[in-house]
Amino acid sequence: MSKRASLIVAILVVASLVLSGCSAPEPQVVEKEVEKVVKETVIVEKEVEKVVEVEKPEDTTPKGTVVVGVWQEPKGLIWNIFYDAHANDIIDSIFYSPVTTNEKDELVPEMLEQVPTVENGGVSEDGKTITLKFKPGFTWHDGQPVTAEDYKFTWQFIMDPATASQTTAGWNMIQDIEVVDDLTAVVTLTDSYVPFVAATLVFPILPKHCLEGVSDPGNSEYARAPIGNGPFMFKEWISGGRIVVVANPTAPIPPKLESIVFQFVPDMNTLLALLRTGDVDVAYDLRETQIPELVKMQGVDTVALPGLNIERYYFNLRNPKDLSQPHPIFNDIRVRKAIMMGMDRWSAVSGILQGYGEVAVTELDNHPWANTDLEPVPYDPEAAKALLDEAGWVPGSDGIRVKDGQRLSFRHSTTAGNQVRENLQLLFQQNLKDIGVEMVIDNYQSSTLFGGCSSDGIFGTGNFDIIGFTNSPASIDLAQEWSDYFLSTSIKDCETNPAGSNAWGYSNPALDEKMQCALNELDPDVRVQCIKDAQKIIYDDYFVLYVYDRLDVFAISDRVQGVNPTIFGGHSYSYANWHIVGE
Amino acid sequence: MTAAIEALGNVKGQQKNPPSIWGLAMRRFLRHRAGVIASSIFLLIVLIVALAPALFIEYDAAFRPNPLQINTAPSRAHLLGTDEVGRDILARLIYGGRISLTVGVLAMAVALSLGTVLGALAGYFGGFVDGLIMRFTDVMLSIPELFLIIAFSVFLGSSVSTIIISIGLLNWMPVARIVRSMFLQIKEQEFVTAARCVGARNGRIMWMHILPNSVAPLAVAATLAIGSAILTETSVSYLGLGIQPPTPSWGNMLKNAQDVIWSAPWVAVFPGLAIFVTTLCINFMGDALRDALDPRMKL
Amino acid sequence: MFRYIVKRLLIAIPVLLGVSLVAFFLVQASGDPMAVYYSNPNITAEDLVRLEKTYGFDKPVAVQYLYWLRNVLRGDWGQSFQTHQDVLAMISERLGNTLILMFTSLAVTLLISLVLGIYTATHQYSAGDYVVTGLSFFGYAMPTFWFGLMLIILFAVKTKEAGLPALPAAGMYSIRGERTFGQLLLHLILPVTVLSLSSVAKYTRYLRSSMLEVISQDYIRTARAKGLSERVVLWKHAFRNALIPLVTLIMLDIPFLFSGALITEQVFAWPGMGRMYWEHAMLVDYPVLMGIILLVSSLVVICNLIADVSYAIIDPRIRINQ
Repeated sequence: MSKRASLIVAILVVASLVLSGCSAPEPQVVEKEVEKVVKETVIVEKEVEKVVEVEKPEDTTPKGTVVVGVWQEPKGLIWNIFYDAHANDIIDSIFYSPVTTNEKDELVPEMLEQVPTVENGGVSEDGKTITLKFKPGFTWHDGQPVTAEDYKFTWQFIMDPATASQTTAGWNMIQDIEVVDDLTAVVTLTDSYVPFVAATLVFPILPKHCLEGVSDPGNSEYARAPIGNGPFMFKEWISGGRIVVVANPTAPIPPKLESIVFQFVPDMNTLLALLRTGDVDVAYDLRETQIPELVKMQGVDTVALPGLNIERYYFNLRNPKDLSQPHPIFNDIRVRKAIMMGMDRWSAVSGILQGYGEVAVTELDNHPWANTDLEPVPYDPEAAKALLDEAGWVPGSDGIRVKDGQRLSFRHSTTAGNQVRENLQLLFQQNLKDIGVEMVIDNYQSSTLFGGCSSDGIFGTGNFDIIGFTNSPASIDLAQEWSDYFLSTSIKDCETNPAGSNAWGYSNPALDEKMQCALNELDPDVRVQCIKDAQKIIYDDYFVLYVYDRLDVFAISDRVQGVNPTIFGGHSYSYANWHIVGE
Repeated sequence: MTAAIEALGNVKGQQKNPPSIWGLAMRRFLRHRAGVIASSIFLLIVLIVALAPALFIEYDAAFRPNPLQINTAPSRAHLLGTDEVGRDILARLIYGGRISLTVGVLAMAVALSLGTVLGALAGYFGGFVDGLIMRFTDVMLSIPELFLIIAFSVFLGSSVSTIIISIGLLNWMPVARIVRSMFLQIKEQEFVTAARCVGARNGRIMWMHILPNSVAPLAVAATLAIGSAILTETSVSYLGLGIQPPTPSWGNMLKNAQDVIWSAPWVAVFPGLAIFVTTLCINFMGDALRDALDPRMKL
Repeated sequence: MFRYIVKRLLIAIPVLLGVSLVAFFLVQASGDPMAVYYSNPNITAEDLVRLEKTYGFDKPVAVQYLYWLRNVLRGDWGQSFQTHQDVLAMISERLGNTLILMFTSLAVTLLISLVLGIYTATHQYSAGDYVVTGLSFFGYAMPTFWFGLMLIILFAVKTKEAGLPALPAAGMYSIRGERTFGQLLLHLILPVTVLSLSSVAKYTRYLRSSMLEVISQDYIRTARAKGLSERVVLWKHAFRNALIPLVTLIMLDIPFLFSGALITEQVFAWPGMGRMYWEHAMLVDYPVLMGIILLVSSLVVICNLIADVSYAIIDPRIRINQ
C-alpha cells in the first residue's frame, strides 16, 4: 500500500492573474496568512484510495461521531426526486455510486470494475453502447445483493413520469438496458452522448426490491428513511433537527467513524457559533466573507478551494420590453466591452472579498478544460471611456452618457439579500458611474428572479438588462448543463420554448457547432479542443462577464481528519475516510 | 373609552379656570419624567438625522464604496469605523436613520389613515358594512404579520416606498378597531344627534364631530406604531427582504453586519444601538402620552 | 349559549375562507415555485415542462385556488411540491415544537408581567415605575435576531470559551447527547428569553392600565370603605378583575407569537413551524404555506371563541347576544 504525506492547506490564493488561467488549480497558501496557517496546518497520512480489496489494518472498529452543520435541510433522500446539492451531500454517505471522484478529482470506479471508456472497451466505437461491469460484494443495507437489475430499475424509475423525478438529464438518452448477468449491464444510447458516464454514473443506484411498485415514491417511507448500500446506514431523521447515519459493518471499504450527525442550522452565524463551541465539527458551503472569522477560530481548519461556481453577469441581447428587438444599449459590442472594462474586479476581489476569490476568465475556470490562453477582461476605465465615445455615447448634463436622447442607464439584477453580490454591485455601480454609465441595482428574490413564463419571472420573461448568478455543476462533465445557456436552440421564448435556458437570446452558429461537438465527439482530444474554442467564441462576443471564481469554503475541526475536500467532490466523496484523532 | 371622556370631563369641571384638555394633557405629559427625557433624545435623533447631512456629513462618505478600507475599526477619520464595502458607518447611520424613521412614520401614517377610514365606516354605518369590514379585519388579524409580509415584500419588491406600504397595509387593523369602538360609543351621544338634526351630512358628522373625540387613543397607538414599524423593517431585512442597496437603513445595516459580527463587531453594534435607543424612546413617549391622556387606556 | 357558539362558528367560516383567499393569492404572487428548477442546470428543458404539468403550475391561479380549496374541503391538504410529503404530516412533525416554545414563552411572559404590572400600577410615577417600565421595554426594543445572536455570543460562546458553564446555542436537544427533558429545558432558555422579553412590555403596560381602571371603580372604593386591608382589596378584588381582559389580549396575540417564533426558530435552529414556513416561503411551496396559515388562523378563531365564551361565563354582566 503506497502512502504519501499530503498537506492540508488552509487557505488558497486568489487575485493572481497568472494563476487564474491555470488548468488544475493547486491549493496555495495566501501570503499574508502564512504565519497563522502554518501553525494550524496538519500533516496527515492519507491512503491513496483504491477500491480493490484493501489489506485491512489491525483495528477496524469504527470510532466516534462527527457532527456536520448543514444550513439547508434536504427535502428527501431519493436523489433524483429531491435533486439538490445539500441532499446529495448527505445521500453520498448512504450510497456508493458506480463511479466517483478521488482526492485529485479524477473519475475512478467505485461499484464498477473500471470507468468505461473507448480505450478499455467499455464504450463502443460509435459511442452508443456502454458496458458496465459491477464488482461483487455490494449489498443493500437490508442484506439483499446489489445487482445489475437494480441499475436497470434505476433508469426505469427515473424515466417513469409517475416518479415525478426532478431530473432525467443523461438518463433520457438511454434507449435500453440489457442485464447480461447479475454483475453486467449493457446500456444502449439513442445517440452518442459523451457526458453520459460522468453525468449519470456518479449518482447512486436505487434498490428495485424497495421501490418497485411504490406509488408516489416521493411521499413514501423510503424517501425519508432510505435503504442504501454505502459506507453508512441511515438511522434517523428528525424534521428540522438532524439526520443520523451509522457505520455499515458489511461495507466493502469499512468507514472509520461510528456515526455522522447532519445537524440542521439555518442561520449562518449560529452555525459559526456552534463551530466555535465545538458542537459542530464540519461546516461547508460557507461564504467567502466569513473566512476572516473562520481563520481566527481556535481548533478549526479552514479550507477554501477556488471552485467551479463562477459568478457571472449575462448581458441581455434582446430588448426586455420587446424580445423580438435587439437590446437598445447592449446590442453594440463596444458598449458591452466598455462596461466590462469599467468594472474593477481586482478591487472587488482584493477589497470586498478580502482576497478570498479570484478574478474569473471563463465558465470553466479551475476545470481541466479551461481555455488557459484567455486572459481576464482587463480593468481599464480610460479604454472603456474611449470605446463609449467611439460608440457615440457622450457625457450628458448629469455626467451620464447619452446617445440619441437615451441615457446610458441599465438595471443590474441578482438575488436580493445575498450580501456578497450586493457588495460587488455597489462597487461596480461606483466604477461605472465614474465612466459615465448608470447602473441601477434591481434585485429580486430567487423565486422571482428565476421565475418562468407563467409567473412573470425575470428570467422567464427576459425582463432584465444584466442578470447575475452562478450555479454548482452537477457533474465534472459540464458539457450538458453548459451548452443549455448558449445554444441557439435553447433561446427562451414563452410561446415556443418556455423551458429554454438561453434567456439572453444569444445566437451564434459557430458556437452551436462547437457545443454539438462537445456533446457528441468521441475523440477526447478533439472534444476538449471544441470546448476550448467554445470558450474563446463566448469570450470574444463580450456578452457574459465572468466576474470571479467563488471559493468553496469548508471549516473542519482539528479533531476530524481525512476530509480533504476537493473542488468537485467537496467534502462528501471521502466520508469513509473521515476519522477522529486524539480521543 | 367612555371612561376616558368622563375622566377628562370630571377634571374639567373641578377647575375654576379650566385649562383646555390639551393643556392639561401637556402638563401631565411633562410630569412623566422618563417620557420627557425620551422625547428629548428622540427629538435630538430626528434633528441630527435631518440636518447633519446638510451640515457636515459628506454624501460620498456614506455611499462611495472604498475597497481599500473594508471593515476598519473606529478611528479619527471614521469615528465609528467603516463597513463591509468601506463606507463610513457614522455617515451611513445618519442617512440610514432618515430612511428608518421615514419608514416608521409613513408606515404608521398609512396604517392610521387606512384604519381610521375603515373603522369610521364600520362604526358609523354599522350593519352590513360593519360586518363586512370587521370580518375582513378578523381575516387580517388572524394571519401572522411576518407570514404575510414575506409574501408582500417579494410581490411588491423592496424599495423604500413598497416597504412602507407593506408594513402599513398589515398594521391598520388595531386602529380600525379603536376607531370603530369610539364611533359606536360616540354616535349615540346627544351632540351627534344634534348635529344630524341641524342637517349635517354623514361625512361632515364623521369628520368634524366624531373623529376629534377619538384622537387620544389614536395618538398613543400611532406613537407605538412608529416603533414597531422600525422593528418590522429590521426583521424583514434579516430575512433578506429589506430595502435594497445602496439605500441604507438601520435594518439592512444591521443585517449586513452579521457576517462580520466576530471580526468587526462595531459594524453591528452601532446600527443595533440606534434601533434600540430609538424604539426605546418611542415607547417611553407613547407611555407618557397614554398617562397624560388617559392612564387607563389599554394599548 | 349553545346557539351563540354555533353562531360564532358560522361566522368563522367566511373569515377562514377570506384568510385562504388573501393568503393564496399573496403567496402565489410572491414568486414562481418552478424557479428552483429553472436555476438548476442539471434539469433539462423537457423535465421543466413535465414538472410544470405535474404540479399544475400551468393553470391560472384562480383554478389552482379552486382545486386547492376543493381538496381542503375534502380533508386533503395536499402535498408539498418540495418534500412530496403530506402537508398535515409535515405540520404535525413541527407543530408540537412550536407550541412548546410558544407556551413556555407565554407562561414566562405572564409571570413577569403580572409582577411588574401590579407593581407599576400601585407605584404610579415612582422611580420604581420608571425603572421597571424601562426594563420591560428593553426586550421589546431589541431587533429579535440581533438580540438572539447577542445572547448566543454571550451565553453560549463567550461563557464556554471562558470555561464557565454555557447554555446551548441551538436546537431542541443536545447535539451529541440524549433527548432528555432536562436537555429540552436547557435548550429552551435562550429562545424563550428572546420571545418572552419581547412581549413583557406590552403585557405589563396592559395590566397596569387595567389595574388603574379597576382601582378607580366604585366597588373597590366600597371595599376600601368597608375597611378591608389594602392587600385584600388589591388581590381579591382589583387583581382578579383586571385579569379578565388579559385573556382577550393573549388570544389576540397568538398570530404575533407565531411571527416572533419564525425568526427565533431560525436563529436558534429550533425545529418549529415558523422556520418551516420561512424555508418553504422562499420556494413558493404553497400547499405548505397555506396549511400553516390556515392552521394558525383556525387556532386564532377557536381561541377567540373560547375567550369570549369563558368571558361570558366568568362575568355575568356580559350578555352574549349583544
